[in-house]
Amino acid sequence: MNKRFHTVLPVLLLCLLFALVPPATSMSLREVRGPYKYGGTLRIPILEDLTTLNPLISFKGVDIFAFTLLYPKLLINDPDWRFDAPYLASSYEISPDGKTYTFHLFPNATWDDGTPITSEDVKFSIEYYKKYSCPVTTPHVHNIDSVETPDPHTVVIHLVNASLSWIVVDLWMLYIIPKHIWQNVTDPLHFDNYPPVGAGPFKFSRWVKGQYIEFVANENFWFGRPYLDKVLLVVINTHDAQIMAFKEHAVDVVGIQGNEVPQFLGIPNVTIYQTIDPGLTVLGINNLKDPGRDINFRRAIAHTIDKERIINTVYYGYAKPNDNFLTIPYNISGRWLNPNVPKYSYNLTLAAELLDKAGYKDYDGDGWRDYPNGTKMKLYIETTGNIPTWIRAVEIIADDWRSIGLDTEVVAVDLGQQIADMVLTKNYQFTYYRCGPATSDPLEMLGWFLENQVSGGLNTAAWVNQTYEELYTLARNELDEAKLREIVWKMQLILTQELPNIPTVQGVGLRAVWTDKFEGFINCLPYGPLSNMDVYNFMSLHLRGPPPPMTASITLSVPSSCKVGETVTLKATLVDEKGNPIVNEYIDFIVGGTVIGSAATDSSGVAKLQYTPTSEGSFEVVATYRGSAHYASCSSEPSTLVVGAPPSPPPPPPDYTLYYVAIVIALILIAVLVLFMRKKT
Amino acid sequence: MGFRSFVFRRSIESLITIFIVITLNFYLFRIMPGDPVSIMFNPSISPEAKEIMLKEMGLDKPLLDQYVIYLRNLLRGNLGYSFLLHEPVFKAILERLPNTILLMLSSNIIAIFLGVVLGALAAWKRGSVTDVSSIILSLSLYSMPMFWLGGMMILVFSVQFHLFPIFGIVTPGVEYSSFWDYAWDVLRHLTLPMISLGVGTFGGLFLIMRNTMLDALTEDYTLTAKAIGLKNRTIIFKNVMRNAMLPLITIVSLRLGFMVAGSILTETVFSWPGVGLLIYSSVLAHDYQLLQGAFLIITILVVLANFIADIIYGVADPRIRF
Repeated sequence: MNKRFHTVLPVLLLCLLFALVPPATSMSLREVRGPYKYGGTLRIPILEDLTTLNPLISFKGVDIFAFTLLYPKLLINDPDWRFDAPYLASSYEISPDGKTYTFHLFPNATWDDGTPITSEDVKFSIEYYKKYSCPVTTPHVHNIDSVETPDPHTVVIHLVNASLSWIVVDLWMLYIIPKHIWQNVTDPLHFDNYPPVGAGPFKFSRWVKGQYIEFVANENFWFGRPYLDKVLLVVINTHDAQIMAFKEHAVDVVGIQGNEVPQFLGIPNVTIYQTIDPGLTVLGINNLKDPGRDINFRRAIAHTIDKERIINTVYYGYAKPNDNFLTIPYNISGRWLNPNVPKYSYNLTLAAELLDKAGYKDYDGDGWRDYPNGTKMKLYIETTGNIPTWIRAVEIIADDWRSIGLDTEVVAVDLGQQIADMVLTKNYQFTYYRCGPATSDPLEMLGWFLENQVSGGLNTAAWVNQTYEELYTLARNELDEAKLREIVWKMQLILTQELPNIPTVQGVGLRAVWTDKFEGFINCLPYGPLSNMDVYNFMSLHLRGPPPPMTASITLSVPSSCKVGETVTLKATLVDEKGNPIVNEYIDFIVGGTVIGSAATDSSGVAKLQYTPTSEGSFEVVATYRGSAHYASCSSEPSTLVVGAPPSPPPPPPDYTLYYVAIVIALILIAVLVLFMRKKT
Repeated sequence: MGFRSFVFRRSIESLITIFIVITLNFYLFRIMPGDPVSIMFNPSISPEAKEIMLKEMGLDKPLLDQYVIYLRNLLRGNLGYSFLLHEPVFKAILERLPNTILLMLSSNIIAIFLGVVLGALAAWKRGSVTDVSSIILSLSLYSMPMFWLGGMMILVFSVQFHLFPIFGIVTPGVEYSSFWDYAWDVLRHLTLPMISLGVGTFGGLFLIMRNTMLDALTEDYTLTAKAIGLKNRTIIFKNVMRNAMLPLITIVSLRLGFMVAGSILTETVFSWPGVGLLIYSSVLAHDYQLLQGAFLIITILVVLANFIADIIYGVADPRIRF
């Protein structure tokens, strides 16, 4: 094969790939809509108050709640944690080279103040983030080269580098802000953005600081008005108070722990939703210090983690073991988890043998193992006292370590201290913590083990592996999903062989909801219904019960006058509250208080009845609709029909008999005369 | 030394005290491991985002520069900008201070009333059932952890008997038709935290009052009052208590001075949006600016309270000369 073929073939394959792979079929918000009842106020407890309504400066979970409800993105995450569900963009295409994304905006999307949302707002937002350093959004626009707006509802974004994960990693972090508001803001970091002008299912109503923030339904939301009238985020600063408030029906949902489940199980109309937490709890190992730097030691202690006991004792059964360094939602469609990674079973005997083999023996006879060089070894596992599950899990691990001769102490510190030790100073030996990904991009979690994450980043183990680094670079540039999967599996293999940290368990998130008032809950990944990244539940939740009939109206059309006996057409048009014609429903026509007949509405909502008045007078005409399960009854405004006297009878046709007789007589006389005259001659 | 020179001297001492406290606070918070940005262990915060935030907070500068900037701003009346709330520290505290003052004043009134009255009664009826039961009651309540006492009150009066709301200062989402409706709602929400803080802290006042009353009851003027046939109530409330209450002036003044700091647990348990809760959130978030501002206010209040206590003491007790 010639060189040109080798150049062209990959491009052709790439084109084929993108041609064949349609935009992901995420669930649309329209799919959660239906004939539901409108109304109700949803109350959600939050542990601390919001800090700002400026979406560009805060990463706090509670602030993201507000931003999710108020600010649009081009695409959002659906209940299965796919990140390309339509939101401001109704659809999108990717160019064959993966560097150009074309988004088509909903043409009826508007900001809260009624200003239409156009492609100019999108372009403005991206350019704004390039111009000003906004912590939330600026890091995610570096791969955007330029933005074009060929028409008011089309945005074309050109990337610097093609990336399979651009939507998940970067686009998803970009809020679209209104140009007409923000174009005058030159200091976004100190702009309080109050009151906010956004565009989402809900509009900002009021913020009573320290107490609650209220949102009201956006009547003009382009996916349709939410069924809920209001959403209240209510500040309740302790978990126990939240539980009590939930039981008192003061709030409609609450997150609970495994040990609290039994107290909810007997309560009628309470449902508990479970989701696997995408965060992973690990035994962190400092690979810069002894004994953590010794791979043989790490492999030995991997057999000392009793995941079953941790799940049952600490999480009351609400957790899953993890071996992959990637968390279970990544296994949606079975794509990213490597099934062939080595598994380290809980086996203290084996652990002890491996430690012996690695030289960690009791050299001084004090009953505790020492370093291979004979020096005393004392192990410290650090965790935070703020989180009870962590400290209990660590106690279980420490117990097992002591049972195999490892002199271990548990050190409970403030969370800030623990983070500082892990991230900044690396002043720890072992640590126990949980870290959760922000997205479903597998390279996000795998990227935590890179060299550039050692200092101040998420590589708390300070583990560096050249092959792993190379694989990550390859993965970031790989556009073929099958090849990417191979690389991701290889990276998992390296992690599970080298064990920079030891994955333990993933918790199961539990949320209790009242179902007596609302229905339509969706168990969204990754955190269950009504989390801070969930739009779907806010669009699907509605009051229980059938919706009330929609209001209808009739417009009557009647000729102003007619004559007795003259047939006229009475016309009535029946429409719903949105002006849509109501088809195949019967309208009664009433003239002078008497129902004269009924007619069914056609496809245009028009019912016609022929009417022939039989008496003179001025008559009130009304059309009425009796209503149905879907529409309320209504009547038209009365019209007046004036019926005049019948037309005068036509004069009788003239009587021509005499004329006929006279003509006959005249003809006879003429005939006689002619005969007489002839006879005379 | 006259009154004027006393005031002048105390003012200088107060300013020096405040300055020392400001400096200590500044460095103490920064000694804590981690800064407001690094403790955000959040994968969605990129290194670049952290750089932006550190620079915006001024934490990229050397410590001494930060201190000088802080002092300069203080002299201009600028308490700094809160990292947590993204608003000026002064505004953040001012928004929440009335809530704390409402809670602490009302609970202190209860505590002072109970402490003074029960203390006087217990001293008068020393050794009786009244005395013993008062001591037991006050010490039991005083030794209960505030978060536990508050939690129990919520459980009993809110959850069990549905008498009071569980959290907050107002009912979320309610539109009030008049000021009185709003006031009534606030009062309903205030009742439990006010009572729990009041009854939970009156024990100290009770013991001091009882002990000083016992001392005063042994004085000659008490015996004289009894001898001339004054009624017991007159002796207690008009003669003995006035003298016994002198130490309480200092205690109460200091209590009021510490009212901002003393409300942290109660505000957290009852979700009462005051300065105490703000301090709690700031500690967790390592918001130095907010903590410095809050502690400065606490310091000023305590110093001021102490100062006022000295003056009131001098007015109340003619024996005191400045």
